[in-house]
Amino acid sequence: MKTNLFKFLTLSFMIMFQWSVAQKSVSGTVADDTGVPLPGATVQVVGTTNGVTTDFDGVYSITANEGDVLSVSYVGFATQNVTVGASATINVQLASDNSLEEVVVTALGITREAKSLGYAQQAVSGEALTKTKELDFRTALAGKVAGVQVISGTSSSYEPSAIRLRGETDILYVVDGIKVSASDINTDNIDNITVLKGAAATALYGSEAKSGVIVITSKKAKAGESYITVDHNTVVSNVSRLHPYQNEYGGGYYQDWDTFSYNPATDPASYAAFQGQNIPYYAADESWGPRMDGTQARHWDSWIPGHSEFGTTRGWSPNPNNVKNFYQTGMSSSTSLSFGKGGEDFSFRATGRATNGTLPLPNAGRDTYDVNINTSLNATDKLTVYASLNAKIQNTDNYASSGYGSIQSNMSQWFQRQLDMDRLAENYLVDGVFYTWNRRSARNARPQYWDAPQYEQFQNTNNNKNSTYSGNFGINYDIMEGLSANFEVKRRAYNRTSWGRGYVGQNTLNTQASYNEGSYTTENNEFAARLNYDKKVTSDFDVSAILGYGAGQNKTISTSASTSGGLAIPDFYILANSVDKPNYSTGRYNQSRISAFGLLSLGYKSMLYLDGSYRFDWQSTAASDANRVETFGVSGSFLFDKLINVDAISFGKLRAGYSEAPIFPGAYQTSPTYSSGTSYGSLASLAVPNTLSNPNLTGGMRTELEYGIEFKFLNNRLGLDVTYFDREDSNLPVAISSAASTGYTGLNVNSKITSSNGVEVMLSGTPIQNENLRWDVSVNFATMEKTVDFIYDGIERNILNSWLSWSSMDLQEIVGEEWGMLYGRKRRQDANGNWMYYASGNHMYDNNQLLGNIMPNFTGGINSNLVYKNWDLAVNIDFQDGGLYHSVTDMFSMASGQHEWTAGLNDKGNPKRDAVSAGGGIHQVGVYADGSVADIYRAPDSWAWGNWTRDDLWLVDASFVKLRQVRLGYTFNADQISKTPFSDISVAVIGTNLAILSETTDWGDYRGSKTPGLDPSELGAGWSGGSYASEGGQLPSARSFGLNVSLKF
Amino acid sequence: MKTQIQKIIGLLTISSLLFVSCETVDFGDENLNPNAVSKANTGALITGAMRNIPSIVSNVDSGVLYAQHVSEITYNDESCYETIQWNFDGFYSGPLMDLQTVINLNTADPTAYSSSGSAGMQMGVAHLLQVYMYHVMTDRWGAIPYSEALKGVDNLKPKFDDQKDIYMGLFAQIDAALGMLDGGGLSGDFMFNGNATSWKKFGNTMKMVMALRIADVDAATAQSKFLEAHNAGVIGAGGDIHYPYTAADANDSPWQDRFQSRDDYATSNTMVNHLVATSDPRLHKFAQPVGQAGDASGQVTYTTVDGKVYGGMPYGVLNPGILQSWVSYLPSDIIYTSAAKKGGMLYSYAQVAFGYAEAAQRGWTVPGDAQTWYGIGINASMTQWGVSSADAATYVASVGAASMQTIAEEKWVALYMQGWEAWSEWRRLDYPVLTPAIDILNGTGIPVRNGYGTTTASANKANHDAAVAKISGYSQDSKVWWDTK
Repeated sequence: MKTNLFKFLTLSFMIMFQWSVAQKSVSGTVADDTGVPLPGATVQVVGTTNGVTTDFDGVYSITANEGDVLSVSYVGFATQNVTVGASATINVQLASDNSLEEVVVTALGITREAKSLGYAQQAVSGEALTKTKELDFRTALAGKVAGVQVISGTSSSYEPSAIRLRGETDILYVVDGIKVSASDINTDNIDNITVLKGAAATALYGSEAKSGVIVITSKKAKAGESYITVDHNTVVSNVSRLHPYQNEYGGGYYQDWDTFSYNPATDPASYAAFQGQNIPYYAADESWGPRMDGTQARHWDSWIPGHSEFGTTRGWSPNPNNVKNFYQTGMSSSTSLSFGKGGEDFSFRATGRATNGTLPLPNAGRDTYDVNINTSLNATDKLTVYASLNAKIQNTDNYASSGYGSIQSNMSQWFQRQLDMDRLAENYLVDGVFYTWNRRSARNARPQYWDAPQYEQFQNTNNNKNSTYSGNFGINYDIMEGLSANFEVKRRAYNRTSWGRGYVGQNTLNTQASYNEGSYTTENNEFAARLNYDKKVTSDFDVSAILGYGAGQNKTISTSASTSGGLAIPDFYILANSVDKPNYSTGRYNQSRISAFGLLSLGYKSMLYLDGSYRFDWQSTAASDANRVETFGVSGSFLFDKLINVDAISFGKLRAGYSEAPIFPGAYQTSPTYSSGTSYGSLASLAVPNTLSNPNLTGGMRTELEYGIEFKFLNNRLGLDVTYFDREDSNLPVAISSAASTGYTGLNVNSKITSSNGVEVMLSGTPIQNENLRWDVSVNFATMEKTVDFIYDGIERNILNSWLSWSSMDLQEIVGEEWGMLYGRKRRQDANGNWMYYASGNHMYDNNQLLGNIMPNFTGGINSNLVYKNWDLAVNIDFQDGGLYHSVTDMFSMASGQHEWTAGLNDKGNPKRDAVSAGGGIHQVGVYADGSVADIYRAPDSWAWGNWTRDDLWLVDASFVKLRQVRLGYTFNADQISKTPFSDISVAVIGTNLAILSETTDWGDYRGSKTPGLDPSELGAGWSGGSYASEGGQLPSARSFGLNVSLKF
Repeated sequence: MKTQIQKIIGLLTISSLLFVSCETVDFGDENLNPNAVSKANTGALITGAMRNIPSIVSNVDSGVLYAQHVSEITYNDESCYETIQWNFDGFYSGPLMDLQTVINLNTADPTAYSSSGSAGMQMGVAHLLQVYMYHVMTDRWGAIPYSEALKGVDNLKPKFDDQKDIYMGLFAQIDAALGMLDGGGLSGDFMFNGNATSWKKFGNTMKMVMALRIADVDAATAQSKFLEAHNAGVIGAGGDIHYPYTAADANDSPWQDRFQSRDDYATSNTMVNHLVATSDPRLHKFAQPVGQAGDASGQVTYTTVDGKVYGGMPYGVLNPGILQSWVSYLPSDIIYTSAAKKGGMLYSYAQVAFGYAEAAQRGWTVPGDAQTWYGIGINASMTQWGVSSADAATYVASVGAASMQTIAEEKWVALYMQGWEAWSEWRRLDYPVLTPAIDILNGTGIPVRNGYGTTTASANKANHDAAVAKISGYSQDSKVWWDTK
């Protein structure tokens, strides 16, 4: 098509040229549809390089011939072509091209006009996503899409973030049609993103897309483009939030000082001089010890033989920033080079990026290399071929994760407050021997519970190397007008190898060295074929249809191995050096699927659209005699703004849709097997698996009903999009928990039914728009509630995660209740709400009580973009109300006397840690079991250890409002850089994870107000098995600042 | 051109319609799990089930604490009876189901698994091991699912059988098992190597111990079962049955894993004081001399015996603030038990001898009298713990007459490190008199029962609630059926 027009125009030009009509000067004003002049608009004579831009008043002047076509364009507006006539003045009014003509990429990469879509989708441009150069795609999406909740990984580590879309986490990520994992994505290479939320939008992808698809289109070189860009940013990050620690009392179990007692029978004679010196309780990993009032004492590092400070005492004083001093300034820099060129028949773009960085966590770092190539070629006028390749190679050193036992759980939960972190760094390794603050005693340097924190980070090293290669190769063939065929093959291959060591040295906690290594390889191969048909049947009526077929296969192999019994030759970390037979396990997972589908779309007068799809899926993981699921979907949209003709309403659309998606079981659940266990010597052992397999397991179905309404007011200056969805999953192939006395703790059945519904709102607008200043702001907001309707005959409860706390808190699904109920120990209150106490003063409690629901009430975000002349300021805020989790850090930091609340003054104005008889203690008011009044004071350590198992004490309401990203940028004018070889230069200052603007600051009981500590938006992954119901030892959050420079040739 | 294309399209459409009309697609063997075995190897199932015995006989958590053999040093919650609800799920879904599968498979097809030995041996051993585990479980929890358990989907809510019925059922199960042991070999048996005689002795000894357990509530059955076991043949001198720990990490004593990087346990002051008071030479085998005799907190009592200073860890004090070096640790050969038999004992000859002593004391017709058996029991225990015969003789000479109390007290000492067994016998015999923990967290005294776990309370709610309702004042202080006093 394009080719023909070009030829026609060239021909007409040549004809005109032959007749040599005199050229004249054409001028005029270019304005928008409200009459505001547009400076910098481009006016070009089509088919030539003759072009000018409008000046500050929107006025242009160009030399052209009668009959020439002038193309007038401006960003954000629809390009207009006007033909030069007799008049020398041509004024042009451009119409803004917001979603009226907006084209979005939908399922299978099919581009559709947004107005024609009958289902909820939201588009985010690549530029909006990467304003602050976020490396993790999921973190970058926070607060930008209604219905997306981002649970961030801790920002001082490399923990990935997790996304919940309408409450589900199994979202499909697709880049140029290739299924990838979110961590594969090079955020700088994204052109745009479409979030397809409901099953209706995903009817063309099958069961992997039932919870939503994020369709990403990579940048391509457009026709006429030719560029080279260089982009560089450097970011520094520092720990910004830590748990609130007390700085009044140091390490130990009691406040009185122990003193050194010289024992002539066993001590060296020189120790006689130490008689009477104050000896801290080194072995205690709690801080209930003596007051930090500067008393002279023998700190842990005064016992290092040969050390200059051996035998000397130092003041017992606070070091309030000791934990913060463990962390350093992390620095990350990233440079990318891209070049692209596009023409009539081809397009080629390649980009390479290198990112190197360290974390606030010492001795940890990561290098990432990305290469992305995207190309297409019109081989003939009917045949187009295209191919893309994405490669990502990443090496990570000393990846630390959150969770109990991690480095931060050590420092927040089991530590001594007087410790000087710099001294720990200097003295933890002296002359090849390790020393720790947690020595067993003055005379015994062996650790009691903990090595120095530096030991964990510098000696127990681990390394991780992974690489991902994904790509596709396809052909588009135009069979005839309106009918084309497409064939494509795609592949993603991911490989990760990791290895780690458990170091042993002199005076280390671990007495047995270990080494482990593992590898994980997964590949996904797909073939897709499609027949596309587009026809305008009448001027009012158009039809498009697709018939498709797909086949795919996943193969995964994982192995893990570790030494057993120690290393035969010390310091030689290799599996063959294991003392006993190494532990070794391998897993293989294969599954295949085949699908066939058809889609029909009808459009009437650009006002009424109807989509219908029908799909068949077969998957190898279902029972072999019933492995097919049929699903269908239908959606429609009705644009009513033309009918109602209200001036204020410039666009109005009603949407409705119904769809179904198949849900297949996981691999290998239909065949009964026995799992192998640890052998006894040479005798192998087997065990019956705890979950009973089911040879008749079939696929289940998700049905979804969706309604939406979209408005644009005041000439598209204000927009509102509201969607309501109602979803039901039925016949789900699940493993439900059963009473263990049946012999199985789980059964694989087809039975569960859950339903969820919610509302998503997107409000966007441009409050200010004039020649110099433009301000766009959008607010998105979503609610979601998921309920469990049915589990299995006779089973009303399913335990999803058990033993989430030390007192068996668990996450349950209960028929008739909202999904995600936490059950555990709760303090008892009488009928009047008084706390009930045992004679000991500890709270009375009941087991198996409902503690709350872990899902948030609503989530959302605010995005603001301000452009003033060459400056731009972008701000992103995301917020959440509700969401509950259990904090082990709170629990143990209280029990160990680290938490700020365990020190300070009580309501009598006396130090809480003074003896109760001297007016100290925590005031507890309530009743005893017999109803008599309880009005007592309890020592903080007795309170903490007496009550630590009451789970409801440690629940955190995760509501927050967070200022996530800010960017201040400057783009140079064309005339400012005209003397440079560059065509575009922009610089920006970026900040991420800046501040929590609002959070819960009250404990909700007699403990009163709560100093903010851990970041409620960064729960991290891993500790509670992906349910995000519990925090075991979260790493601190880190704030980053950086500079970005972008150059275009 | 157009017609050709139309034909192609027509063909494609028809073939796709044909294609989508297939009900199923044959993926072949793709969904057969390559990571696990589809054909059972019953010998390996028995090996796997046996590997669960260490968690019973070398239980680190609470049996040894309730019996006050051992005390926690820093984290004393369990000594103060913090946990009331204990989970039995692991027994059912683990070894019990593995053993039941061996029984079911051999019952369905007695010759298919002959590569692991005779069906009789496989089933007999599986039954005996099941009885052993059920016995420990019912002594801990009282009424538990038994007759309706392990049936998979056929019974999703097994009822809780009363302990009385469970005991009778277990006796019947032992008898049936003993009849099946035909000496046809058994692979995967690292305890007795397929020796039918050894298994029969194990079965009879277990029966004898169970019989004594119910002596106060059903004397008639107790006596008859005891004598049956005696006549069929129990273990004799030198026949101690212990779990064969290895030096390799994979099959070593749980105590060894616990002590790998932490020292949380020491001999309790209850045990040390008792051994000191009776001048018992086993003191040197049960406890290590202290590292540094000097307790700043003043809670530890030190005694010098034979030139060595011992200090037992005070039992049941929360946050005592006592350093490890101030108290007597468990000796290394209790912790690192590869060749020695001190940890991992199932049934010892000493226990059997004390059983005979008690039977004689009750007037049952057993050969020998109580006093002789009492002496034999003490001597057997001394041998078990490696005490020299001279020291043993001195001690035996110093003990008084055998009575229910003295037999019970000696038995308590002899069952050192056999947590569950010691606790059960203490509950039954009520001697030695033990003082509950000082900083008791739950209940009114030393627990006499384990409460049902929270998963059972949710997953099998109706039956759980029915069982709880039958126990008046259900708590860890409510006695089980055979515990009459």
